[in-house]
Amino acid sequence: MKPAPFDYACPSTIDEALGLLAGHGASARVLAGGQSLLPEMALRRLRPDLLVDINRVAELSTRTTTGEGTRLGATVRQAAVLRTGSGTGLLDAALPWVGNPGTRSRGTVVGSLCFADPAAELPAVLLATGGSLEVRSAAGRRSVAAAELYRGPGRTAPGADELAVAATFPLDTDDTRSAWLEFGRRPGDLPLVGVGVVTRVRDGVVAAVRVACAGVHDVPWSVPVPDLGGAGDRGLAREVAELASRECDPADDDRTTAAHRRVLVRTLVRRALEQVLRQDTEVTRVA
Amino acid sequence: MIVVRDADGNSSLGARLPRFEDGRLLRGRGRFIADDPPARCLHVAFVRSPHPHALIEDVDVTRAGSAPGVVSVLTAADRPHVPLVDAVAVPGLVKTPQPALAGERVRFVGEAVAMVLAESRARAEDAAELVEVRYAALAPVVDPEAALLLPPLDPALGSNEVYRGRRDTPGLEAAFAEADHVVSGTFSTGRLTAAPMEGRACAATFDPVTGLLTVRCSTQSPHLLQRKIATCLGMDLTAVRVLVDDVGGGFGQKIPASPEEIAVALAARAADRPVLWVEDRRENLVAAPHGKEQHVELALALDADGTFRALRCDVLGDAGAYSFNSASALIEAYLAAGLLPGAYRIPETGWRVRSVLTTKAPIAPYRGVGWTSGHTARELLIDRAARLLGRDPVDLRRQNLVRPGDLPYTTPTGMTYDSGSHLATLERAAKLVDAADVVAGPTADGRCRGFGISPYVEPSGWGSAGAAESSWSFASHDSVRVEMAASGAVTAVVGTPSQGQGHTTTLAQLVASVLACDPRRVRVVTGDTAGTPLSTAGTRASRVATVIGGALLQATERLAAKLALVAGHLLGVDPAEISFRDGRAVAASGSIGLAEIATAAVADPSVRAALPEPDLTATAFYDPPATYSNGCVAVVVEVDPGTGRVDVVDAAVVEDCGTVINPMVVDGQTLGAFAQGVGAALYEDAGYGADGSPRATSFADYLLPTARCLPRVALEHLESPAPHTRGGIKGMGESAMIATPGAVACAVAAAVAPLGVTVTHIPIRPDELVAPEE
Repeated sequence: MKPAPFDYACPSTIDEALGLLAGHGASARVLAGGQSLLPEMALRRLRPDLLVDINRVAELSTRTTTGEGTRLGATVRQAAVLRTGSGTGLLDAALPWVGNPGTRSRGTVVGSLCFADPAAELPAVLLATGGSLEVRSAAGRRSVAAAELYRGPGRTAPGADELAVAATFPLDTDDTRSAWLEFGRRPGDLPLVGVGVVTRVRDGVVAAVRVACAGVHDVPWSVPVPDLGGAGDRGLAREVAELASRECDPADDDRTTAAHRRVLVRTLVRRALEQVLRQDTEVTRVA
Repeated sequence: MIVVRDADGNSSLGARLPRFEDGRLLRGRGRFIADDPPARCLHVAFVRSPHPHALIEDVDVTRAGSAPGVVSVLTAADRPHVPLVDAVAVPGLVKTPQPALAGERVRFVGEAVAMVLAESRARAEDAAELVEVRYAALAPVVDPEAALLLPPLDPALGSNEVYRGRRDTPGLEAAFAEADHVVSGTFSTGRLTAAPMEGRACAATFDPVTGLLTVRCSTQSPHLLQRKIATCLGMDLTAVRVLVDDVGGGFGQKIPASPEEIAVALAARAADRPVLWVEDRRENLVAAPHGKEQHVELALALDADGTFRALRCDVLGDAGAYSFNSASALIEAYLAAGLLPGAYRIPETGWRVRSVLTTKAPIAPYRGVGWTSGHTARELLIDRAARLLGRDPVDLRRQNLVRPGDLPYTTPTGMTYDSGSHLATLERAAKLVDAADVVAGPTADGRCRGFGISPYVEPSGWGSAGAAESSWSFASHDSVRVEMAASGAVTAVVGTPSQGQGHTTTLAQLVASVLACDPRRVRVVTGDTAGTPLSTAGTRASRVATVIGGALLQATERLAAKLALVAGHLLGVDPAEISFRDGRAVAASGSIGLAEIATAAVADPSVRAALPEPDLTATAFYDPPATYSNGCVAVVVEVDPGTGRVDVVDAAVVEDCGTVINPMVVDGQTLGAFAQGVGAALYEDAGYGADGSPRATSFADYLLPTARCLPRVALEHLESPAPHTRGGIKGMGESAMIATPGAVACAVAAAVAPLGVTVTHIPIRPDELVAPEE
C-alpha cells in the first residue's frame, strides 16, 4: 500500500498553484485534507503524477460571510466548521455524519465537494441548499452552481486547469428548517443513502421543499418535488417520500441492493421531512 | 460444584490485577516486526494473482529486475523447496501441498506468484507492477455445493472434495421416526477474517558463519513455524531459530506457517542481506487465511413436551484453495459437527461432514473455529422449534441443558464435559438482560425488539486428550522452565507467545501463587525457539492457561521444593515445616526471604549438604486431560424495519472457565470476543463475487464493528474448577466468539419473525430486514 511514484509541490499562492495545474493537466491532483485522496493513492486506484498541496496557500484558509452565504475557503477543515456552526443549518446537521473526528480534523469541506463521491454527504448538502463552488484558473474566476457541478463518480464540471478556491452555502433565514438523515452500515461510514431536506416555513405554510439524496445515483440527486398544494404536514412527508422512492433509480452494488436503497430513500425522506415539520408544529397547509 | 471465590488478598490467583504489559503497549512501546527492521534489510513485495483460477504460462521478471532499487525478483522456479502440507492425521483427509510461490497454477485471488526484493517497500511495489505474468484463466470455483461438479483445483486429486465422513449413533433413525416433532433448517456462516491489527510479518536473516537461519515472525506458534521452515527448506531443526516479540493480534490466523513466510526464509537463505516482509492491509484481507465459511443443514427431533431426542447435521465446509497447513480443511466443518450437541442433553446425533476446495483464500483457524458456525445454526434451530411449539426460548433450553447431576456428561459425539454450570449461567444471563421484559414486536417508534440467548460449551485448553475428544490427532503439550535468580526474582520460560492475551501477567500470577510472592517478581519470557522449552502447538485453542499454566504450577512446585530444602538448611528446621508467605519461606521458628535463599544457593557451599545441585531451576511437562468451559450470552436487539438497522441494545455474558486467574483478563477476552461475535453476526463479510473476486479489499469494505456498534455488556464469572486439570483451570479465549453470533442472530430472528422474515445466515444484512412495502 505505497502510492505509485509522484511529484509533490507546495505552492504558497493561488497563481502558483494554477500554474502547476495548467502545466500538468489531468495528471495533477490537488491535495487539501487528503482524507480520501491519499488512501486512494495508497491503493494505487489514483495515480497522479503531481500532487499540488494547497495547505500553504494562506488565502484559501479563510471563512467569510457574504451576501450570498457562508464562503468556506478550500482548506477550511470540516471540524472547524462543525465547531462553530456555519449559519447553514443543513451543513451543520450533516457534518457530524461526515467521517469521524479524526478525518474531520484534516478533511476539508471543499475537498469533499470536489472528490465527488456519490455517497458523500456534502455534495448533497450543497445541492439541497442551492450552494455553489468558486473556481479559479488563468482565465479568471467563475462560480459553478451545485446543480451543474457533478458529472459522475469522482467527476466534476471544472476543468483540470481550474482550482476550487471556495464553496458558498446560502445562509438560513428565519423561516428555514432543515434536516440531514442517513443510513450507513456503521457510524462514520459513507452512507448507503443520505437525505438532506431544506424547507422554508412562513406563517405556518411550507413555502418550499428541497430534497437531495446521496448514495442513490452516481451524482447527488435532487428529488423533483412538484407543487404540493393542499397536503397536510404528515401527508406531505409521506407524499414526497413516496415520490422520491418512485422516481429514484438506484443500482445494485457490493454494498447493498437497489431495492434496499429505494426503501431507504422512502424511509429517510419521510423521517427527515417529519423532523423538519415537527420543528414548526403549527404547519397545517402547504403552499 | 460452583465456587464463588472469596476476596483473598494473600493470593495472586484470582486477583483483578492490571496487566503488566499494558503501560508499555498503550504508550507505543511495543516491538512489532515493522518497529525493528533488521539493518541493511531487503523489503519484499509479492506479485499476487488477480485471477481466482488460472494456469501460469509465463512469468517475465526482466523489466522488474532492472527497476530502480530492485535487488532481485524470485519466482517458484528460482527456489525449489518442499511444499507446505497439513500435519493432521484424520483418515480420509486429502492433502493439498502448497508451494511458497505458485508455479503452475493459481487458485485464489491474492496467491503469491513472485516476490520482489528491493531497497524499500515502495520500490518493491513499483517493481511488482512490472512483473509480467501470462495467465490462462480457468473457471473459478465459488459455490461449494457446485465444487464437486467442477474440474478439480488440483488435477492430481481428482475431486474438489477433500473430506467426507459420516458417523450416526445407532438409535438416530429410530429417534427421528418416533419423535413427535421434527424441526429442520439450513443455515450458513459467511467468510470472516481475523483482521489482526498487525498483519502477518517476518524478518529472516541467514548467518553464513554459523549456518543459522533466524526468522523473527509475528506468529502464534514459533515451534510449529520452526518445524515448517526446517521441513520446507530441508534444514535441521537446530539450524532454524524463530524469534517472536510482540504480536499484534492473531486470533488463529497466525497459527499456520504462511507460504509467504517460507518464501521469505528461502530468499534470506540465498541472500547476503536480511529480508523483511510486512504485510499490508489489502494483502491481509485477500491473501491471509480466512475463517468460518460453512453451510449447515440441521434437523432436531423433539418429544411433544419439548425434550430433545436427536439432532442430525450435514455440514459443508468451504476450505478455500488448500487444505491449509495449520489445521487442514477440517478446522471448520469437522469441528462444527463434533460440538453438535453443545450444552444440551441430546441422546442421538447424526454427523455428516464434507469439506471442499474452492478458489478462495484458504481457511485457517479463526477464534471459535468451526464451533461458531455449528453453534449459531443450532441455536437458531432451537429458537425456531420454540416458536413452532409455542415455548419460551429460555424455558425450552432450560429443559434440555446438561444439569449438575448429569456431570460428568459424555455427548454422543464423544466429548466428556468434566464440570460446569450450564443451567446456572443460563439463568443468570437471562436475568441480566431482563429477558422477561422483552416483548417481541414493534415498539412505540416502530422498531422491533428481540431477545436471543445462547448457552455454550467451549472445548478448551486442548492438550492431546482434548484434541482427541474432537476426533483430532494432534500432539498438544508443553514444557516450561522456572528459574530463580540470586535476587529472588523468578523467570518463567514458556514457548507460547502472547498476541495480547496478557500472559505476562496471568502466568506470573500462577507462579507467584505457588511461591506466595509478588507477581511483579515473576518475569515471563517467551519467543525464542533456541531458549524456550517446546510448545508443540503454540498459543491457540484456549490452551495457554490450561497447558502452560498447569506446567508452570508443577514446575514452580518443584522449584519451591528446592527452596524449602535450602531454607530448611538455613533455618535449621525440617524442610517439611517450610511454607511460603509474603515472599518468605516461613517455619515456626523463623523465616527467611526468597532473595536470601537464592543468594545462599549460589554463594554458600554449605547449602549443598541439603541440595547437592543447588541450581534453582525446575522444568515440567504437561499434557492435560480434556476440559470444557461453559457459559451463556444473552442479547436484546432493536431492528428498524424502515432501514434494516440493527442495534444491540443490551447484552450479558456469564462465563465459567473454572479457576479464574485474573478476572480482568477474562473480562477483556470476553468483551473482545463479544465484539468479534457482533461483527460476525452483523457486519463482517469476506465473501467473493460470482466471478471469484474478493469483495473486501480494504477496511472500507470489510466492516469491523466499532465501539459505537456495541452495547454495554454485563459480565459475570461463575467458577466450576476443572476436576482433572492442574489448578482447576479451563480455557476461555474463544467462548464469546462461539456463542455471541448465535445470540445476536436469534435476537434478530425473534425481532423480525412478526414481519415474516426468517434468519438463515450470518452476517445478517440490513437489506434482508426491511419491510419491502408499507
